[in-house]
Amino acid sequence: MTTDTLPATGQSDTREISLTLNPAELQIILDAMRFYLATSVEALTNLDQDAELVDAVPALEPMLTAEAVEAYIALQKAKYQGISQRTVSDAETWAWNSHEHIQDVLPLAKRLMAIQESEVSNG
Amino acid sequence: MAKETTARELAFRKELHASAKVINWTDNGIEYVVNGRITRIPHGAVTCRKAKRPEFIHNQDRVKMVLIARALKTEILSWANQIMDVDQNLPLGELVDLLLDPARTSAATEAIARRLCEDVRKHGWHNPGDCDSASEADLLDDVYDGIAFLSIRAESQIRQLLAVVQKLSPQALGDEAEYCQRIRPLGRGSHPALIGAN
Repeated sequence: MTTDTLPATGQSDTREISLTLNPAELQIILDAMRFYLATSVEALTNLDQDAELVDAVPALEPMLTAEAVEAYIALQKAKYQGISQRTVSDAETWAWNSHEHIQDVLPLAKRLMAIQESEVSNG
Repeated sequence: MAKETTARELAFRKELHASAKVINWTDNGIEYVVNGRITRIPHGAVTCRKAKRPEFIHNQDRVKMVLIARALKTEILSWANQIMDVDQNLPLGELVDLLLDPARTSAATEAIARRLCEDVRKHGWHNPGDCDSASEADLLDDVYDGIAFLSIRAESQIRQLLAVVQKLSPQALGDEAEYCQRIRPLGRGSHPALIGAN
């Protein structure tokens, strides 16, 4: 399949794609987003794998800040220093990757939740 | 009873080796055991949601649609991994092709069964008393019984997820394939500190 080059993550593409879903399908996507976030960042945040997305978001939001990531890395350094420099270095890479991942995914997850909330409010 | 034990055994091994969800099918619902915590979801809790009027997700740019595709793929993989050997790096489009092809899913299930049998031959069952696979044929039967047990829930979940995936545009699937090559996958179980801790 031929595709145009994707913009870098975090950047927008003016060409839009719409998706029509019924509420059950939207719930399936929300569940998948929750699982996607949880599997990606579990070790960084100790996020409960089975938490609902609405409960997971407050736990993830602090990880949007560089300070939080640096604090996590400092914790890992204290824990593993002297045991394995490689582990500390890998944990650092992991932390920043997870941070970027949360930056990409969390705004969309919140937007989907808002759509669902709006649907509930409107009956 | 023996089949339940076998399934639990398989699920336990899966959790150890692939960090997959563990599922116990009980009269009251399905138990998810994650990090030592058990959550029970009543039967039908997901599938019996009342359908209402359609929702529209407008103005999603291509990157956002890729993220939706990736989320769906992650969950599909987590279920598929319980019952078959699946390449974790397959783009979503190829994963869908695989799951919709009975011959390929059958081959993938046989592959995981062979691997599990080999594992049991080398290391034995986690709780030897739970399984009385006296012969090679018994061992194969036990493994396939366990996979069949796990597949009840997994197949139902995969069907629901595939139905949503099929609503994504071909553009979104193509973009996901490109994203797949560009972005290093993040996944549970690969956290280096945890590996170091073990």
